Amino acid sequence: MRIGIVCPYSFDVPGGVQLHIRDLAEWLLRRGHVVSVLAPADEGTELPDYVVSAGGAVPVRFNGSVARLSFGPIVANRVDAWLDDWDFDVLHLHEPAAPSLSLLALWAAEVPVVATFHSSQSRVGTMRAAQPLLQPGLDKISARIAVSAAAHTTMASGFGGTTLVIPNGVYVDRFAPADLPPEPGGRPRIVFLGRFDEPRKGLPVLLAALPLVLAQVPDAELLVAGPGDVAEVRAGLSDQVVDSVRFLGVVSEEDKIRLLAQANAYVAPNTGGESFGIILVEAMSAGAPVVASALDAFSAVIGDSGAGAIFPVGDHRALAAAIVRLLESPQEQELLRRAGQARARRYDWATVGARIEAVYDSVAVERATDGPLRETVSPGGAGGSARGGRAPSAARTVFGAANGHASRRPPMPVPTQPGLRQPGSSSGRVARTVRRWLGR
Amino acid sequence: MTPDIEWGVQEWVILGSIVLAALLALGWYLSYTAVRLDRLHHRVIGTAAALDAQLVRRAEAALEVAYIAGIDPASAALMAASAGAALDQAETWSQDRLDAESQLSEVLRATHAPEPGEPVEVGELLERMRGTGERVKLARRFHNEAVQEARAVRGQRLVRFLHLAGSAKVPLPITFDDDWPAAT
Repeated sequence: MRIGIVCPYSFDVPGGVQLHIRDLAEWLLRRGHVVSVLAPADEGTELPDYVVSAGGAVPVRFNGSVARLSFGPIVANRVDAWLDDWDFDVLHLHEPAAPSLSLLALWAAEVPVVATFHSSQSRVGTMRAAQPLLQPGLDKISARIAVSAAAHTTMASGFGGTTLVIPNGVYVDRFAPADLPPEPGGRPRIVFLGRFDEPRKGLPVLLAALPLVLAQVPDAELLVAGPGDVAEVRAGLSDQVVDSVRFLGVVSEEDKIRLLAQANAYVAPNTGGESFGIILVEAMSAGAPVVASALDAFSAVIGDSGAGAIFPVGDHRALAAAIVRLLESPQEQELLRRAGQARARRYDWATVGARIEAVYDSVAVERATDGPLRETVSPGGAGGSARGGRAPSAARTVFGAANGHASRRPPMPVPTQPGLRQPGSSSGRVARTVRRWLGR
Repeated sequence: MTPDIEWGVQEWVILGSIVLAALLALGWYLSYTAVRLDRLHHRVIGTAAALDAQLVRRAEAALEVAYIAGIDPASAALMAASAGAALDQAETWSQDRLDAESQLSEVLRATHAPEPGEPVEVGELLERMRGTGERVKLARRFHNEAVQEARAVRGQRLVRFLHLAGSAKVPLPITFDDDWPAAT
């Protein structure tokens, strides 16, 4: 199948959506599909060869944070050219309501569209003002996917329509280290990962809980990994705890995995703004016993599987109690470790990717691969040569108006009484032989 | 207390432009809705075609399993018969076809029992058949969503009154028993 994926956010900056798209594209490529990803990226950025750049992105304040978006007439032309060159069977747009590439692609799309909504915090008010402008595009979406129940709720209240919830994927096996030294033979380790000077990540809650933990487990230490201003946080610490906190700065992926694998407790004290607890899944995959705040996104990941301890959001006493219980009982740690690793399987790409693939199949109509139609669609032969690698640059005529109305597909059967069907759907030879044999 | 307005040229121009603006707005809204309806109808057609393709694939997969998966002959005969019946009807959305598809779902529910220790190839076949069942469920769901959205717009009073939907037929949801395999 020929699959086009559109990422609205700049590929130069790491982010949840970008990582998800990268993993998804790589999984689909391994499954043998033809995949191209269109994303904003500044000139000179190293991009994987399945990514086509739509040009540089502009930082814009949108939806409560600064997002690097891409828009404007030149970009719109590039989107059209990309669609023409690749001639996809299905188009998968991410965050289609963000005023960026996905929206442009949605407008120009003439093939079935699958859309994934990631955000759980889009300000429905601001989007409502743009609703009449967005509606014609949203009407074209055949299948809507939300990454979590929280994202689902936002969208349901904002844009209507029912949705499948398919979580983000993790390559679980990459996070399970082969040589797992269970006890480094040191102090009980509490691990915190993330941008720690951002209050919503919840480090202050954890620091408030720390004295209570140290009262029970005096030799416990807290390891904080991630970017942020160390001096500022350290200045706010009391003498009692300052010796028990170590800041590791930004760590590599391998170090992160090792850190998680050797943790006696991984704490996610976030206070809000999380749409999906990908980090919890990573921690579980690596075998860290998880203690998480009761955000919807986190509760959904942990579920009722007992794969982690949950405490009320912002409640440092409850957090301290949960950590102490965990640190004092190796059996409890082992229990959470096992349950977490089992739970993480559900988020493995093997599971998640298959579900997304099923959605593609159920909206896309198999087309004849060698029909004359394709040639008339991309004149000049550029389409053919572009198929294996990158699409050529955007210097080409734009076909069809921006509303994507120029129909290039053959007339399809009316749902009330469809007649024609594309012959030769892809099921195996045997079925066809049997059918021929039976005279069908 | 009606204010006295001297109906000079200026007043007529103002009134005229207000009326013109209102007409333009109405016209824009009507064409917007008509285009929207057209788009929704296109989507309905697309989702129906996708569902059709998935149904055919499911029946073909069932035929394949019946003939080469080595399940017991009674199950195989039952599966092949109902898959064949479904394929026979595959050209329309008639009630007969929907009945045939429901019956196939029923048969699959009843017969599908993967034996332990089956060869890899058979496992793959069964897996593929199960995949087609899931896709049928998804496709029918997406189709009925599209139908529901199109019908919601068609139901608006102005749309009905002005026949904005034109000659497009009222799309119908496709209903049959697709409950196989069970959700995990």
